[in-house]
Amino acid sequence: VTGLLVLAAMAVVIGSIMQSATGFGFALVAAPVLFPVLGPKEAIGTLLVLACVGSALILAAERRRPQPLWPDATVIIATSLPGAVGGIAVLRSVDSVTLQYAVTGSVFVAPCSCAATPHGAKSWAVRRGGRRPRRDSPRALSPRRPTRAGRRYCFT
Amino acid sequence: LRVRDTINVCYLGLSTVSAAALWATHTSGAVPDPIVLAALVPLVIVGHRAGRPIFERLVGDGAYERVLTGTLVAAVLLGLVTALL
Repeated sequence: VTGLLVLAAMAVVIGSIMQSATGFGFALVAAPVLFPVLGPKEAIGTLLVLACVGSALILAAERRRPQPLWPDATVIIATSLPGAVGGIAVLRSVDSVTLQYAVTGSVFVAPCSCAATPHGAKSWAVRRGGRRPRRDSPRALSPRRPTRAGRRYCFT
Repeated sequence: LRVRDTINVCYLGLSTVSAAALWATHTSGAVPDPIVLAALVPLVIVGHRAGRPIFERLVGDGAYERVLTGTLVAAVLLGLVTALL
């Protein structure tokens, strides 16, 4: 067992913990390590299967009824089709080292793009189901700003 | 919980789309090794079990974003190290 394999196993565990704790992040942690260990193509196939297992566990193994926002999920999945085909074109045409740098770069861009979003995921969650401030509350003057109750709702 | 559930429904859908795209374009070499999967799937289950209480704790403490940002930065550093290796 090489050091890289141990590193890959650790990345999978840490990625799974992050996925379970926050709802996403498995591939962000595991992909940069699995790519050099398994090679780009096999790493993608492996990541797909492992990500499915992690997501299925979150949705089906917590003894509760999942409550996804179906309209949003449908739009996101439908718009991913062109991206999936484009990704395969990149996978076929780019060498493994360049792909590794691309994966690392995309991991770096992800938090930056979140920070650049004006209202972020929290207000999205509030907009899609969190509590709104009372009409007579001063906070009602700025309804885009999540209330404490709404903020709490996002992650519970 | 709704956000977390939505993200994971999207992941399942995206994974299906990606797998279908790989199959449709006859991309060779993307089939995972069963031995590797047999070794890594239990680790995913262990990680899921360990992460669930952390999720509940993050909700209570309001530390979600700090932990998330820290983990993302660690992932970037890890990726750079492995790319250099």
